[in-house]
Amino acid sequence: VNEVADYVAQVRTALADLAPAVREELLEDLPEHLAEVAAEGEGSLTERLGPPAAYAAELRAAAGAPAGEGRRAAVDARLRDAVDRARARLQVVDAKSGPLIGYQKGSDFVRLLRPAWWVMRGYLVAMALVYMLSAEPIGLLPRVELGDSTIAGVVVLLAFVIGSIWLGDRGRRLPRVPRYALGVGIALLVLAAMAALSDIDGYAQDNPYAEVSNSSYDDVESVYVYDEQGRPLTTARVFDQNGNQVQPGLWWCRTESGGTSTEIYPTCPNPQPLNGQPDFIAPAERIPLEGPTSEATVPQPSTTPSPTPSAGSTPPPEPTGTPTPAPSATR
Amino acid sequence: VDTTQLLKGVLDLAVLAVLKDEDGYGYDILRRLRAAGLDDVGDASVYGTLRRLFQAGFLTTYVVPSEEGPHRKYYGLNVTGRDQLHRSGKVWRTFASTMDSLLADRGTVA
Repeated sequence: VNEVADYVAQVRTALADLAPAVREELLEDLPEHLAEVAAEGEGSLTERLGPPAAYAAELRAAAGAPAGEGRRAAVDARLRDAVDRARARLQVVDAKSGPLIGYQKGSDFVRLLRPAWWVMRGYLVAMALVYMLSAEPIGLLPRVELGDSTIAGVVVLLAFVIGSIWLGDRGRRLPRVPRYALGVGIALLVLAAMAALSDIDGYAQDNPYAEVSNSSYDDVESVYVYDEQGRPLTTARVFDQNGNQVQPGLWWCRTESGGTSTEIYPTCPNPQPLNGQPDFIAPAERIPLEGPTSEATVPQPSTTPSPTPSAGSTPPPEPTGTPTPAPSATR
Repeated sequence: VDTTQLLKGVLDLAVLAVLKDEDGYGYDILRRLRAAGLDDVGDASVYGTLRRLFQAGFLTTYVVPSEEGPHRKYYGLNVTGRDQLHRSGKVWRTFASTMDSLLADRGTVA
Protein backbone atom coordinates (compact mmCIF):
# COMPACT_ATOMS: atom_id res chain seq x y z
CA VAL A 1 0.00 0.00 0.00
CA ASN A 2 2.86 2.31 0.82
CA GLU A 3 4.47 1.46 -2.45
CA VAL A 4 1.29 2.43 -4.27
CA ALA A 5 0.95 5.72 -2.43
CA ASP A 6 4.58 6.44 -3.07
CA TYR A 7 4.30 5.75 -6.75
CA VAL A 8 1.17 7.88 -7.02
CA ALA A 9 2.87 10.71 -5.22
CA GLN A 10 5.80 10.62 -7.61
CA VAL A 11 3.56 10.58 -10.65
CA ARG A 12 1.66 13.50 -9.17
CA THR A 13 4.87 15.41 -8.73
CA ALA A 14 5.80 14.77 -12.33
CA LEU A 15 2.44 16.21 -13.37
CA ALA A 16 2.73 19.17 -11.04
CA ASP A 17 2.62 21.70 -13.84
CA LEU A 18 -0.88 20.69 -14.91
CA ALA A 19 -3.94 22.44 -13.60
CA PRO A 20 -4.97 20.65 -10.41
CA ALA A 21 -8.32 19.53 -11.85
CA VAL A 22 -6.69 17.98 -14.92
CA ARG A 23 -4.01 16.36 -12.85
CA GLU A 24 -6.42 14.78 -10.42
CA GLU A 25 -8.50 13.47 -13.30
CA LEU A 26 -5.46 11.81 -14.76
CA LEU A 27 -4.55 10.32 -11.42
CA GLU A 28 -8.03 9.18 -10.61
CA ASP A 29 -7.69 5.56 -11.69
CA LEU A 30 -4.06 5.21 -10.74
CA PRO A 31 -4.27 3.91 -7.14
CA GLU A 32 -6.81 1.31 -8.17
CA HIS A 33 -4.71 0.25 -11.10
CA LEU A 34 -1.52 0.05 -9.11
CA ALA A 35 -3.29 -2.04 -6.49
CA GLU A 36 -4.32 -4.51 -9.17
CA VAL A 37 -0.85 -4.60 -10.65
CA ALA A 38 0.71 -5.10 -7.25
CA ALA A 39 -1.73 -7.84 -6.36
CA GLU A 40 -1.23 -9.71 -9.57
CA GLY A 41 2.44 -10.44 -9.82
CA GLU A 42 5.86 -10.07 -8.42
CA GLY A 43 8.38 -7.32 -8.58
CA SER A 44 8.14 -3.75 -7.57
CA LEU A 45 5.86 -1.33 -9.34
CA THR A 46 8.85 0.45 -10.80
CA GLU A 47 10.17 -2.80 -12.22
CA ARG A 48 6.90 -3.57 -13.90
CA LEU A 49 5.66 -0.16 -14.93
CA GLY A 50 8.86 1.77 -15.27
CA PRO A 51 9.80 4.78 -13.20
CA PRO A 52 6.95 7.05 -12.10
CA ALA A 53 8.24 9.93 -14.19
CA ALA A 54 8.08 7.79 -17.34
CA TYR A 55 4.61 6.60 -16.42
CA ALA A 56 3.57 10.23 -15.97
CA ALA A 57 5.02 11.21 -19.33
CA GLU A 58 3.19 8.37 -21.08
CA LEU A 59 -0.03 9.21 -19.32
CA ARG A 60 0.32 12.83 -20.25
CA ALA A 61 1.05 12.07 -23.88
CA ALA A 62 -1.76 9.56 -24.27
CA ALA A 63 -4.27 11.84 -22.61
CA GLY A 64 -3.29 14.65 -24.92
CA ALA A 65 -2.50 16.86 -21.98
CA PRO A 66 0.00 19.59 -22.69
CA ALA A 67 3.52 18.31 -22.34
CA GLY A 68 5.62 19.78 -19.59
CA GLU A 69 5.07 23.51 -19.85
CA GLY A 70 8.53 24.20 -18.72
CA ARG A 71 10.09 24.92 -15.45
CA ARG A 72 8.31 28.10 -14.67
CA ALA A 73 4.85 26.65 -15.02
CA ALA A 74 5.89 23.76 -12.84
CA VAL A 75 7.20 26.11 -10.20
CA ASP A 76 4.00 28.14 -10.36
CA ALA A 77 1.94 25.01 -9.97
CA ARG A 78 4.03 23.82 -7.07
CA LEU A 79 3.68 27.21 -5.44
CA ARG A 80 -0.06 27.11 -5.91
CA ASP A 81 -0.11 23.66 -4.41
CA ALA A 82 1.95 24.76 -1.44
CA VAL A 83 -0.36 27.69 -0.84
CA ASP A 84 -3.39 25.44 -1.07
CA ARG A 85 -1.90 22.97 1.34
CA ALA A 86 -0.88 25.67 3.79
CA ARG A 87 -4.35 27.12 3.67
CA ALA A 88 -5.92 23.74 4.31
CA ARG A 89 -3.58 23.17 7.22
CA LEU A 90 -4.41 26.57 8.65
CA GLN A 91 -8.08 25.75 8.48
CA VAL A 92 -7.45 22.59 10.42
CA VAL A 93 -5.51 24.49 13.06
CA ASP A 94 -8.26 27.08 13.15
CA ALA A 95 -10.92 24.46 13.75
CA LYS A 96 -8.89 22.55 16.31
CA SER A 97 -7.66 25.52 18.31
CA GLY A 98 -11.16 26.90 18.83
CA PRO A 99 -12.40 24.42 21.44
CA LEU A 100 -9.23 24.90 23.47
CA ILE A 101 -10.24 28.46 24.24
CA GLY A 102 -13.96 27.90 24.24
CA TYR A 103 -14.80 29.00 20.74
CA GLN A 104 -15.94 27.13 17.70
CA LYS A 105 -12.95 28.24 15.70
CA GLY A 106 -9.78 30.02 16.69
CA SER A 107 -10.52 32.73 14.17
CA ASP A 108 -13.83 33.47 15.91
CA PHE A 109 -11.86 34.64 18.89
CA VAL A 110 -9.28 36.50 16.86
CA ARG A 111 -12.10 38.35 15.14
CA LEU A 112 -13.25 39.62 18.53
CA LEU A 113 -9.85 41.21 19.00
CA ARG A 114 -10.30 43.48 16.01
CA PRO A 115 -11.27 46.64 17.93
CA ALA A 116 -8.27 46.12 20.17
CA TRP A 117 -6.16 46.00 17.07
CA TRP A 118 -7.67 49.26 15.86
CA VAL A 119 -6.65 50.98 19.11
CA MET A 120 -3.20 49.47 18.83
CA ARG A 121 -2.93 50.63 15.24
CA GLY A 122 -3.73 54.21 16.19
CA TYR A 123 -1.12 54.08 18.91
CA LEU A 124 1.51 52.74 16.53
CA VAL A 125 0.80 55.39 13.92
CA ALA A 126 1.04 58.14 16.53
CA MET A 127 4.31 56.74 17.80
CA ALA A 128 5.73 56.39 14.31
CA LEU A 129 4.81 59.93 13.32
CA VAL A 130 6.16 61.50 16.48
CA TYR A 131 9.29 59.46 16.21
CA MET A 132 9.89 60.58 12.64
CA LEU A 133 9.23 64.23 13.43
CA SER A 134 11.17 64.50 16.65
CA ALA A 135 14.80 64.05 17.43
CA GLU A 136 14.30 62.53 20.82
CA PRO A 137 14.74 58.83 21.39
CA ILE A 138 11.49 56.98 21.41
CA GLY A 139 9.76 56.03 24.62
CA LEU A 140 6.43 54.43 25.30
CA LEU A 141 4.34 57.58 24.93
CA PRO A 142 4.48 59.93 21.99
CA ARG A 143 6.36 63.07 23.03
CA VAL A 144 5.68 66.28 21.22
CA GLU A 145 7.99 69.25 21.62
CA LEU A 146 5.18 71.59 22.43
CA GLY A 147 4.86 73.00 25.89
CA ASP A 148 4.16 70.12 28.20
CA SER A 149 5.23 67.32 26.00
CA THR A 150 3.36 64.59 27.83
CA ILE A 151 -0.03 66.29 27.58
CA ALA A 152 0.50 67.20 23.95
CA GLY A 153 1.63 63.67 23.27
CA VAL A 154 -1.48 62.21 24.84
CA VAL A 155 -3.65 64.49 22.74
CA VAL A 156 -1.91 63.33 19.60
CA LEU A 157 -2.25 59.75 20.74
CA LEU A 158 -5.97 60.09 21.37
CA ALA A 159 -6.50 61.71 18.00
CA PHE A 160 -4.85 58.86 16.18
CA VAL A 161 -6.53 56.15 18.20
CA ILE A 162 -9.93 57.67 17.52
CA GLY A 163 -9.06 58.01 13.87
CA SER A 164 -8.02 54.39 13.70
CA ILE A 165 -11.21 53.24 15.39
CA TRP A 166 -13.20 55.33 12.95
CA LEU A 167 -11.34 53.75 10.07
CA GLY A 168 -12.06 50.38 11.62
CA ASP A 169 -12.90 47.93 8.92
CA ARG A 170 -13.52 50.60 6.32
CA GLY A 171 -9.97 50.01 5.13
CA ARG A 172 -10.99 46.68 3.69
CA ARG A 173 -13.60 48.27 1.50
CA LEU A 174 -11.14 50.58 -0.20
CA PRO A 175 -10.30 50.05 -3.84
CA ARG A 176 -7.46 47.74 -4.54
CA VAL A 177 -4.47 50.07 -4.75
CA PRO A 178 -5.09 52.14 -1.61
CA ARG A 179 -6.00 48.97 0.21
CA TYR A 180 -2.71 47.34 -0.69
CA ALA A 181 -0.84 50.52 0.19
CA LEU A 182 -2.55 50.52 3.57
CA GLY A 183 -1.63 46.89 4.08
CA VAL A 184 2.01 47.45 3.23
CA GLY A 185 2.13 50.53 5.45
CA ILE A 186 0.71 48.62 8.38
CA ALA A 187 3.10 45.75 7.85
CA LEU A 188 6.03 48.16 7.93
CA LEU A 189 4.57 49.83 10.98
CA VAL A 190 4.34 46.55 12.83
CA LEU A 191 7.91 45.69 11.92
CA ALA A 192 9.14 49.08 13.12
CA ALA A 193 7.13 48.68 16.30
CA MET A 194 8.77 45.35 17.00
CA ALA A 195 12.19 46.88 16.53
CA ALA A 196 11.33 49.82 18.77
CA LEU A 197 9.89 47.52 21.40
CA SER A 198 13.03 45.44 21.53
CA ASP A 199 15.05 48.66 21.85
CA ILE A 200 12.95 49.88 24.73
CA ASP A 201 13.13 46.50 26.34
CA GLY A 202 16.88 46.69 25.94
CA TYR A 203 17.09 50.01 27.77
CA ALA A 204 14.97 48.68 30.56
CA GLN A 205 17.21 45.69 31.03
CA ASP A 206 20.58 47.29 30.47
CA ASN A 207 20.19 50.07 32.96
CA PRO A 208 20.22 48.71 36.49
CA TYR A 209 21.66 52.00 37.77
CA ALA A 210 18.70 54.04 36.67
CA GLU A 211 17.16 53.88 40.14
CA VAL A 212 20.21 55.03 42.04
CA SER A 213 20.93 57.93 39.75
CA ASN A 214 20.19 60.37 42.56
CA SER A 215 23.12 59.10 44.57
CA SER A 216 25.33 61.86 45.88
CA TYR A 217 28.33 60.06 44.43
CA ASP A 218 27.28 60.42 40.86
CA ASP A 219 29.97 62.85 39.93
CA VAL A 220 32.68 61.06 41.86
CA GLU A 221 35.28 59.92 39.46
CA SER A 222 38.16 59.08 41.67
CA VAL A 223 38.88 58.53 45.31
CA TYR A 224 41.87 59.49 47.43
CA VAL A 225 42.39 58.11 50.86
CA TYR A 226 44.38 59.80 53.56
CA ASP A 227 45.44 58.41 56.81
CA GLU A 228 44.82 60.17 60.07
CA GLN A 229 48.03 62.07 59.73
CA GLY A 230 46.88 63.42 56.42
CA ARG A 231 49.28 61.35 54.37
CA PRO A 232 47.88 60.00 51.17
CA LEU A 233 47.70 56.25 51.09
CA THR A 234 49.25 55.08 47.90
CA THR A 235 49.10 51.33 47.79
CA ALA A 236 45.77 50.61 49.41
CA ARG A 237 43.04 48.49 47.87
CA VAL A 238 39.42 49.49 48.05
CA PHE A 239 36.47 47.15 48.45
CA ASP A 240 32.75 47.61 48.41
CA GLN A 241 30.27 46.34 50.98
CA ASN A 242 30.11 42.97 49.30
CA GLY A 243 33.81 42.45 49.40
CA ASN A 244 34.31 43.14 45.71
CA GLN A 245 37.28 45.20 44.83
CA VAL A 246 36.40 48.68 43.64
CA GLN A 247 38.59 50.33 41.11
CA PRO A 248 38.27 54.00 41.69
CA GLY A 249 40.28 56.28 39.58
CA LEU A 250 39.95 58.24 36.43
CA TRP A 251 39.69 55.82 33.62
CA TRP A 252 42.35 57.51 31.60
CA CYS A 253 44.81 56.89 34.40
CA ARG A 254 44.44 53.14 34.29
CA THR A 255 47.43 51.52 32.78
CA GLU A 256 46.46 49.44 29.90
CA SER A 257 49.43 47.20 30.35
CA GLY A 258 47.26 45.30 32.79
CA GLY A 259 48.66 43.47 35.74
CA THR A 260 47.98 44.04 39.34
CA SER A 261 49.11 47.63 39.24
CA THR A 262 45.75 48.69 37.87
CA GLU A 263 43.96 47.23 40.84
CA ILE A 264 45.98 49.14 43.33
CA TYR A 265 44.74 52.47 44.43
CA PRO A 266 45.29 55.17 43.51
CA THR A 267 45.22 54.83 39.82
CA CYS A 268 46.04 58.45 39.34
CA PRO A 269 48.88 58.95 41.69
CA ASN A 270 49.89 62.40 40.60
CA PRO A 271 46.95 64.73 40.88
CA GLN A 272 46.45 64.59 44.61
CA PRO A 273 43.59 66.88 45.39
CA LEU A 274 45.12 67.99 48.68
CA ASN A 275 48.68 69.06 48.53
CA GLY A 276 50.66 67.76 51.35
CA GLN A 277 49.27 67.72 54.79
CA PRO A 278 45.61 68.64 54.87
CA ASP A 279 44.61 70.65 57.86
CA PHE A 280 41.35 68.93 58.62
CA ILE A 281 43.05 66.17 60.50
CA ALA A 282 42.27 66.10 64.13
CA PRO A 283 45.43 64.76 65.69
CA ALA A 284 45.52 61.78 67.92
CA GLU A 285 42.26 60.18 67.09
CA ARG A 286 41.99 56.47 67.45
CA ILE A 287 43.83 54.54 64.81
CA PRO A 288 42.10 51.23 64.31
CA LEU A 289 43.79 50.37 61.04
CA GLU A 290 43.43 46.62 61.16
CA GLY A 291 44.51 45.71 57.75
CA PRO A 292 42.73 45.79 54.46
CA THR A 293 39.30 44.77 55.70
CA SER A 294 38.81 47.90 57.67
CA GLU A 295 39.75 49.88 54.64
CA ALA A 296 37.57 47.71 52.56
CA THR A 297 34.63 48.89 54.50
CA VAL A 298 35.09 52.31 53.06
CA PRO A 299 33.61 52.31 49.62
CA GLN A 300 33.59 55.27 47.33
CA PRO A 301 33.92 58.19 49.62
CA SER A 302 33.19 61.52 48.09
CA THR A 303 35.94 63.55 46.55
CA THR A 304 35.27 66.17 49.08
CA PRO A 305 37.83 64.93 51.42
CA SER A 306 36.22 66.39 54.49
CA PRO A 307 35.29 63.17 56.23
CA THR A 308 38.20 60.95 56.75
CA PRO A 309 36.77 57.71 55.66
CA SER A 310 39.25 55.68 57.47
CA ALA A 311 37.78 54.48 60.71
CA GLY A 312 34.71 54.69 62.85
CA SER A 313 35.46 58.17 64.00
CA THR A 314 32.64 60.59 64.46
CA PRO A 315 31.95 62.08 61.10
CA PRO A 316 32.35 65.76 60.50
CA PRO A 317 29.10 67.61 60.01
CA GLU A 318 29.29 68.14 56.26
CA PRO A 319 26.33 66.33 54.79
CA THR A 320 27.77 65.54 51.39
CA GLY A 321 30.35 63.34 52.90
CA THR A 322 28.20 61.17 55.05
CA PRO A 323 29.02 57.80 53.62
CA THR A 324 25.47 56.58 53.47
CA PRO A 325 26.10 53.57 51.26
CA ALA A 326 28.93 52.54 53.49
CA PRO A 327 27.40 50.12 55.92
CA SER A 328 30.65 49.77 57.72
CA ALA A 329 31.17 52.85 59.78
CA THR A 330 29.82 53.18 63.27
CA ARG A 331 27.37 50.43 64.05
CA VAL B 1 8.84 -1.01 -37.25
CA ASP B 2 8.37 -0.48 -33.59
CA THR B 3 4.95 -1.67 -32.58
CA THR B 4 4.60 1.06 -29.99
CA GLN B 5 4.83 3.64 -32.77
CA LEU B 6 2.02 1.95 -34.65
CA LEU B 7 0.00 1.58 -31.48
CA LYS B 8 0.01 5.29 -30.90
CA GLY B 9 -2.03 5.80 -34.01
CA VAL B 10 -4.57 3.08 -33.36
CA LEU B 11 -4.88 2.84 -29.62
CA ASP B 12 -8.02 4.98 -29.65
CA LEU B 13 -9.64 2.61 -32.04
CA ALA B 14 -8.47 -0.44 -30.13
CA VAL B 15 -9.87 0.85 -26.86
CA LEU B 16 -13.18 1.73 -28.47
CA ALA B 17 -13.26 -1.73 -30.00
CA VAL B 18 -12.73 -3.66 -26.77
CA LEU B 19 -15.52 -1.64 -25.17
CA LYS B 20 -17.95 -2.36 -27.97
CA ASP B 21 -19.60 -5.35 -26.39
CA GLU B 22 -18.95 -4.88 -22.73
CA ASP B 23 -18.12 -2.04 -20.36
CA GLY B 24 -14.96 -2.37 -18.40
CA TYR B 25 -12.70 -0.73 -15.85
CA GLY B 26 -9.17 0.38 -16.60
CA TYR B 27 -7.27 -2.73 -15.75
CA ASP B 28 -9.89 -4.88 -17.37
CA ILE B 29 -9.57 -2.94 -20.62
CA LEU B 30 -5.81 -3.30 -20.46
CA ARG B 31 -6.16 -7.05 -20.10
CA ARG B 32 -8.55 -7.28 -23.02
CA LEU B 33 -6.12 -5.40 -25.22
CA ARG B 34 -3.28 -7.68 -24.21
CA ALA B 35 -5.39 -10.75 -24.63
CA ALA B 36 -6.19 -9.56 -28.13
CA GLY B 37 -2.49 -9.54 -28.89
CA LEU B 38 -1.44 -5.98 -28.20
CA ASP B 39 1.21 -7.03 -25.74
CA ASP B 40 3.21 -3.87 -25.94
CA VAL B 41 0.48 -1.52 -24.87
CA GLY B 42 1.54 0.52 -21.88
CA ASP B 43 -0.57 0.88 -18.77
CA ALA B 44 -0.32 4.62 -18.71
CA SER B 45 -1.16 4.87 -22.40
CA VAL B 46 -4.43 3.05 -21.86
CA TYR B 47 -5.44 5.23 -18.96
CA GLY B 48 -4.44 8.36 -20.79
CA THR B 49 -6.39 7.26 -23.83
CA LEU B 50 -9.44 6.51 -21.72
CA ARG B 51 -9.20 9.98 -20.25
CA ARG B 52 -8.94 11.58 -23.67
CA LEU B 53 -11.79 9.57 -25.18
CA PHE B 54 -13.91 10.53 -22.22
CA GLN B 55 -13.04 14.19 -22.70
CA ALA B 56 -13.93 13.87 -26.38
CA GLY B 57 -17.37 12.67 -25.35
CA PHE B 58 -17.16 9.07 -26.57
CA LEU B 59 -17.42 7.35 -23.22
CA THR B 60 -19.66 7.20 -20.22
CA THR B 61 -18.27 6.35 -16.83
CA TYR B 62 -19.72 5.06 -13.61
CA VAL B 63 -18.29 3.82 -10.40
CA VAL B 64 -18.97 0.33 -9.13
CA PRO B 65 -18.21 -0.48 -5.52
CA SER B 66 -16.20 -3.64 -5.16
CA GLU B 67 -16.07 -5.92 -2.15
CA GLU B 68 -12.31 -6.19 -2.15
CA GLY B 69 -10.20 -3.17 -2.78
CA PRO B 70 -11.09 0.24 -4.11
CA HIS B 71 -14.13 1.16 -6.12
CA ARG B 72 -13.81 0.62 -9.83
CA LYS B 73 -14.49 3.17 -12.45
CA TYR B 74 -16.16 1.58 -15.42
CA TYR B 75 -16.10 2.92 -18.94
CA GLY B 76 -18.61 2.26 -21.66
CA LEU B 77 -19.35 3.48 -25.18
CA ASN B 78 -22.11 6.01 -25.65
CA VAL B 79 -23.80 6.72 -28.95
CA THR B 80 -21.10 9.12 -30.08
CA GLY B 81 -18.52 6.54 -29.15
CA ARG B 82 -20.17 3.83 -31.19
CA ASP B 83 -20.41 6.19 -34.09
CA GLN B 84 -16.75 7.03 -33.72
CA LEU B 85 -15.83 3.36 -33.53
CA HIS B 86 -17.73 2.74 -36.73
CA ARG B 87 -16.07 5.56 -38.64
CA SER B 88 -12.58 4.93 -37.30
CA GLY B 89 -12.96 1.27 -38.02
CA LYS B 90 -13.72 2.04 -41.64
CA VAL B 91 -10.74 4.35 -41.93
CA TRP B 92 -8.53 1.68 -40.45
CA ARG B 93 -9.78 -1.06 -42.77
CA THR B 94 -9.23 1.13 -45.79
CA PHE B 95 -5.79 2.02 -44.58
CA ALA B 96 -4.91 -1.55 -43.69
CA SER B 97 -6.05 -2.94 -47.01
CA THR B 98 -4.16 -0.21 -48.79
CA MET B 99 -1.04 -1.21 -46.94
CA ASP B 100 -1.76 -4.89 -47.58
CA SER B 101 -2.07 -4.44 -51.28
CA LEU B 102 0.93 -2.14 -51.37
CA LEU B 103 3.04 -4.78 -49.73
CA ALA B 104 1.47 -7.60 -51.75
CA ASP B 105 2.21 -5.81 -55.02
CA ARG B 106 5.84 -5.83 -54.17
CA GLY B 107 5.76 -9.41 -53.12
CA THR B 108 6.69 -8.69 -49.55
CA VAL B 109 3.74 -10.48 -48.09
CA ALA B 110 3.57 -14.15 -48.69
